[in-house]
Amino acid sequence: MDYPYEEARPKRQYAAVFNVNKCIGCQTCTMSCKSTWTYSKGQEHMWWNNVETKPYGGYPQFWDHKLLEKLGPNKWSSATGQNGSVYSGKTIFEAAPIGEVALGYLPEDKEWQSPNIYEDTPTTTDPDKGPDESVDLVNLPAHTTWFFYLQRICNHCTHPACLAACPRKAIYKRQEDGIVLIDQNRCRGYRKCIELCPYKKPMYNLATRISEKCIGCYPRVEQGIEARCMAACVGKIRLQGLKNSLPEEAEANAENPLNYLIHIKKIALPLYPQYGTEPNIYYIPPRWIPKQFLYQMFGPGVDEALKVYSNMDEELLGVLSLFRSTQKILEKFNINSNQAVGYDAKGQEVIRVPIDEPVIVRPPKYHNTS
Amino acid sequence: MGKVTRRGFVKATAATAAGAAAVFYFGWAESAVRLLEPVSVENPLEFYPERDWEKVYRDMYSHDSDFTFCCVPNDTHNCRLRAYVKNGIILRIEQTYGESQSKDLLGNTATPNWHPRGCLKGYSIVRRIYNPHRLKYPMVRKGWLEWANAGFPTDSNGVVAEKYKKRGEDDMIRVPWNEALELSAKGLMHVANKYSGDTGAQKLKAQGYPEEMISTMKGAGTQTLKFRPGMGLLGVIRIIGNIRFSNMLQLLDAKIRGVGKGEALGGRYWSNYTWHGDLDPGTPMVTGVQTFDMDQNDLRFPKFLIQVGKNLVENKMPDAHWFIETLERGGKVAVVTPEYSPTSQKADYWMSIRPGSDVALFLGIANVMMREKIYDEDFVKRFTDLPLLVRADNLQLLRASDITPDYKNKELKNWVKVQDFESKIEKLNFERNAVKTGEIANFGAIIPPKLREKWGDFILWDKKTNQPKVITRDDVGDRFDDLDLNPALEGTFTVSTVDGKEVEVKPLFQLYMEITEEYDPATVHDITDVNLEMITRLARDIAKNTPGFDPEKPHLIGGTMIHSGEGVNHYFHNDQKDRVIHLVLALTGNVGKPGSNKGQWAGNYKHSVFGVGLYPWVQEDPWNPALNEDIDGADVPILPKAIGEEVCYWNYNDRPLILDTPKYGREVFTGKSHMPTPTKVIWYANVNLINNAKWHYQMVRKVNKNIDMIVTQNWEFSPDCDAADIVFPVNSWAEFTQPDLTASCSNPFLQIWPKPNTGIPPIFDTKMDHVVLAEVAKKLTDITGDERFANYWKFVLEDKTDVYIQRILDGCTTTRGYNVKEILESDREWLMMFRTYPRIPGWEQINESRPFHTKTGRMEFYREEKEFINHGENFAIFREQPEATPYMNNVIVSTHSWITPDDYGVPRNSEDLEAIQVRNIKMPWSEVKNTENFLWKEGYRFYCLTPKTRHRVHSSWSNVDWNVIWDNNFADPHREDKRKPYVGEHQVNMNPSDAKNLNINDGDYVYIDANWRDRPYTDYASEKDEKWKKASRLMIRVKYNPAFPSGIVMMKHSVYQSSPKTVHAHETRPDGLAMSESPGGIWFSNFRYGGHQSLTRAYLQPTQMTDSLVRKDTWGWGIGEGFAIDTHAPNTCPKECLVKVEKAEDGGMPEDGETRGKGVWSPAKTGFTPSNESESMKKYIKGEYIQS
Repeated sequence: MDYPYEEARPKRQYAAVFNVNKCIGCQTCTMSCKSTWTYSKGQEHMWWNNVETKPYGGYPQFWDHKLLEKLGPNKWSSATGQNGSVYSGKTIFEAAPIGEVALGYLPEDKEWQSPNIYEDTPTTTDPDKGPDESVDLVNLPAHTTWFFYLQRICNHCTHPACLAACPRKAIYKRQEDGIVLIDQNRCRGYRKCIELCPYKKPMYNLATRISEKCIGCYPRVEQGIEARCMAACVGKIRLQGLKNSLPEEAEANAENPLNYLIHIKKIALPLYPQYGTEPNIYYIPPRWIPKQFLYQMFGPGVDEALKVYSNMDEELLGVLSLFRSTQKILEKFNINSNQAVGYDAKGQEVIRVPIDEPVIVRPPKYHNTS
Repeated sequence: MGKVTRRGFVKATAATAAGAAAVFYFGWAESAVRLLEPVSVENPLEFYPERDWEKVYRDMYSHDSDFTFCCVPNDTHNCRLRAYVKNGIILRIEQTYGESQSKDLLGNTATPNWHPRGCLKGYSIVRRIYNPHRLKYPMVRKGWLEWANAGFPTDSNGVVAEKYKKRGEDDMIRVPWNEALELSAKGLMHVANKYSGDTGAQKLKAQGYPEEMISTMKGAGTQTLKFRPGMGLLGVIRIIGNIRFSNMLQLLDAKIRGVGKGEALGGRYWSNYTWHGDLDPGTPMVTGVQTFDMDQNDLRFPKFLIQVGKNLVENKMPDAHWFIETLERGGKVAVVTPEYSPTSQKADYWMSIRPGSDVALFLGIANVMMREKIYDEDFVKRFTDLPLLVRADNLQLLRASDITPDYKNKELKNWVKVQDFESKIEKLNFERNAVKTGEIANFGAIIPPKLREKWGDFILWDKKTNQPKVITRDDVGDRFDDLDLNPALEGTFTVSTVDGKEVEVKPLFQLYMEITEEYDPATVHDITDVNLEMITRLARDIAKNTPGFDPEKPHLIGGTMIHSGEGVNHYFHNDQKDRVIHLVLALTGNVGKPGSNKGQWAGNYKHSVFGVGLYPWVQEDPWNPALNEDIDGADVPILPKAIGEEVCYWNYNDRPLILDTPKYGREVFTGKSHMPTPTKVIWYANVNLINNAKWHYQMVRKVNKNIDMIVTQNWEFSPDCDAADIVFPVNSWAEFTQPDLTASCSNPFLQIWPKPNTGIPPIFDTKMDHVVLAEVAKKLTDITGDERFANYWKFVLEDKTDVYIQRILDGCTTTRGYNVKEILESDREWLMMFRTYPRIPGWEQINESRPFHTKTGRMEFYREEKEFINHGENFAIFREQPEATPYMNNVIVSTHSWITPDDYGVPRNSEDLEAIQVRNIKMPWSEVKNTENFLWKEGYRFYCLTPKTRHRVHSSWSNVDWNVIWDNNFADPHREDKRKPYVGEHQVNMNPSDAKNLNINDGDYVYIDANWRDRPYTDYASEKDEKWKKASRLMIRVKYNPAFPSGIVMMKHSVYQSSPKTVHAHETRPDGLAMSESPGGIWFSNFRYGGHQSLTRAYLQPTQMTDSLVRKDTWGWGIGEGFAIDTHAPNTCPKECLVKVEKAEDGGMPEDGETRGKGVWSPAKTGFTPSNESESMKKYIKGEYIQS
């Protein structure tokens, strides 16, 4: 792959798993982020975190489709759609036009309006049929009328396109946690990062006239606390932590819940892996969506991930029970006798979660109807 | 450029940088200087040299202190939130992750599975607390102030001149607290005085109020004063304090009429839950209790969960995870809604249904269950009235006394006290004492002997002996087994009655078999549009999934759970839907066990969780208040003289349902126990009562003209402030200067907050809600010289409100033993001590063989009372809705001879919706399907759905920019398009092909109208006042949404409706903002014109106004008949409307100098939008940008 800098993986990588199946589209993550980092003048249109309804929704509007269209149809080398397939198409770096580092586009101002456009708006599997084909039933294995919520933050990519794009080298990746930052002193607002980030997560501040992006809530992560958008997730779909960046190391450290989910169980997949940036936010794909759409969005691991998800063993159920049980970053987990236990970096027990809720019966003077 | 080398990359970027530098040189001189510094970053993946700047974000994130408070909008969650403070300002909010620390007196704790609680509204609440729309000081409406200053002049009938009544048009004027408090006290006295006694009655009569309403007042003018605690449980002190105030007014009545203690009456207090259309009105008809809601961690147990017109994903956000987690544990979810909803996407299957036809679907399911014999015979016999015999001749349940000469009713002993009390107070004191002593463990109901005698004992047909046998209310569960009977469920029998007749009788089960025969799946499919095969599948899936351990699904100990929601509750026959859903659950034994039952939860209505514990606070004896702070709450003297009233009647032109029927002449359909009084003062807190009222413009333009004083307590300038006379500004939830408490109908947490000496001081000149009331009471003392008014609020005025909280805790089974100070100090939630965690309704009944709170002690699917028989509703039966139907309005779909409705002579071609409410005609479906609603004929052919949004809680957050931006397709913080009323605007979702057929593009503006005869308000057609005409007709933007089947439009409910002032501003201000401006503040309409309540009207459902329905009291364990506030009363039904849609204006931006739009809204021209997809978009949807 063509990337302007030599690979230099961080020691630990900021990463998260988003369980799309559980997302309720409530935007609590969105407001938690907004109220922390982007409430000032010049940031009115700016949402570092957003949740959009697929397929019509997007912030900025139609961001993913526009780039897919530019990139053109691509292929995974294996027809089976399984993990282990090799991408045989072009990444955004290989598809870069002459004089550019990567393929991209700069959204127009109006595309940053209406961040929740087409919320809760489904499509039909075959849009040729048109809206007259009114559907009276959907039924698994795949819904024929469908939408789902896609949760989006900066992916703190291993090969960030924004970083590659920056003419001033004002964007860097922290070695200690892999968080990608735009230096607010050095940035001059050329907006190349906005143009080339395939996820459109750097944004332009109209008042300071420089670019900004998600900072991974490093003031929290540095304290061993998960990012705001993660901690706020009331649908309990998000788990964030620090994983090993190299797959081999991640596999060797299976006690880490993120390594376990991403590298051992392979239940969570990167968003648009074909872009080539190696994003570090991983998604458990939605179970009801037509597979072909999921392959396009999450790559060839979809079948295996969903197989694991729908035949859950006790250990995996335990790890999923740890999602949002605590705000502290969990470095280790342990599942036994209907309990999931999480530990911090020092090995201290942080949380103990019963996998089943108990039913408690009090003496008869305590009525259920009063 | 081919392969990019590092060297080449650096060179290329250097050139770009130089080019851009010139631009910034002029814009930002300082930057230019910095640009000159050499760049020395080699590989930014590996090392970055200048990281000191990172402290910018660390500083931004730092805070000085934090505190917790409770976010208590009208949802059911009560999330405890933590606020972070810097320089005295709340920076941001976070969830506490503290739920698992909550415990009870027995050592039980909640689990971390509850973490975290708090949604987007909690996070954006900072935006409300510091919002420029906050109320900053008391305000009085200009015209009202003039009226008061003129000495409250009226004509001889007590009517106030028109010039003083320009609500919605007048400015709101700042007045000092002292003056506002005094004005409100004087206003109360003026009205109470004016309408007291015979002269008062004469005036009301002259004003046209019916005699029934006037005589209900018993001469007390105070009875025209209406107080509404807006979802009282959300603030038991500060909001329910409103009822306390109302009770205190018996002192005022005594003063005015010269009557003594006992005779003097307080004010009236209004319901919440029923009027919102929230109550499951059929649940008290089946179970005797208000609702059957469970704590939401119980949603972790069902093997099968069905959502009927319910959207838990969008509307139970902190607790939605519980049910979604069952999917990861092997559970299944089905959704029955017209549209493919946010909850539908999670489902194993979703079935579309015609709006308002759900009862037919569930009758079809009962049909399948009975026909295929997949019901739980044991459960049916042990816990339901289905084995009881019903008489053919009079449609009454057969009684033991009917067939046994001189039969004496048996003594009832099972979890019941059959006892007479001299007065209601004596009974309440008995209950309160039973809580204190723990004797409450022995009974769950108190029945007056007279009622018990009236009910009698019941008869079933025993197959073992082939004889009719007696069973009593006691004989449920194990106690029924002890009788060793085997009741017939099927068959027809004859019994000889004591008066010498041979009477045909049938078990109720047999009758339901007959009735549901007309609801075979094919017919149900025809009625409901539900997919034919799925009707049978749904029935079988319910029958298959019953409570109990299944080794295949070891985490799911529940069975089938059904949740019905507002989607189905907002239709006129909402009670039938509850009766039939309870029926299919009872048929399959899905009751009273973990992960079973029928849930509902709408709004945090359930102050009954505190039960009789509320009395010392709400209805303390004002003649002799307990001034000793150490008294046990259970011993505080009470004298309940505040009388509950259903707010639906105000909404129904301030009238009960009285009709001139062709058959009988004048008929009163509102039961005596329900009868409202004329409304002359409305005083309310914590709710935008008027903005959110169905038939909003009828209320502001017509009904409220007859009201002399409207007082609202609010923390934001909302449309309700413009619609009121006096506005008291109150502290936000984060600015509490005194503690309050709340609990919930959907979680086990008891919240009392804030911890002393935490929080931020009030930002503006505001007070706590209950402090406002206490200070008005003090004014009444000042004016009358009677110390008792002020004494009634002694501990509020002394800043010791915790004394009152402790009294509530003392008196309540679920909290007795808790210490308020310890709870406050602990700074977290505690557990309500229900019988079970999670709270499971029906638990005692099913697991311990206790009778339900009904007359038979069983779940009742038959209603023998005359009101039900007259209206053809003795059985749970499907009726078309009175307005929202293509077919004949309100028709009963049945031919069964035991359904004997009275049509009151209302003709079949009537176009009078008032009369149609009582026109009861039965017809077979084959005939119904050939009839047509007169409105349908006139072109009103869209059902109008108005569900709740996730971005607001009803009208709360309507003016928070961030929330508005996420609530629609038309958001723009910069408002490039000046037509937007605010930073976004309200939208109607519409099926794209419907829109295209009407030449409506995605993003266009449309007019939406409902029945012209009475909407937006009666006489609208002849309205002369242009500003009202414009303000009340709905204009709204269309969003294409294929989730909605053809024939349905949907707009989310309760944003701010337009007023003449917002329309005027929108049309005259250069920025186009639809703003209502007063010297006291501003608010924005979310519409350019009208509002969604332009389309709605009020209805009164006759079987919800009976004097005969047996039900438990809302608070405590007493069982009685007829009206019970928020339990048995009419539920308004805002989805009961059909509408027309027509294009109003192009969605595209206006051209320069124009105000009207031109062309298509720009996103709809991209090819990326629904029903306007380009080839490329189709490819994307099909996933063709990757080939696998």
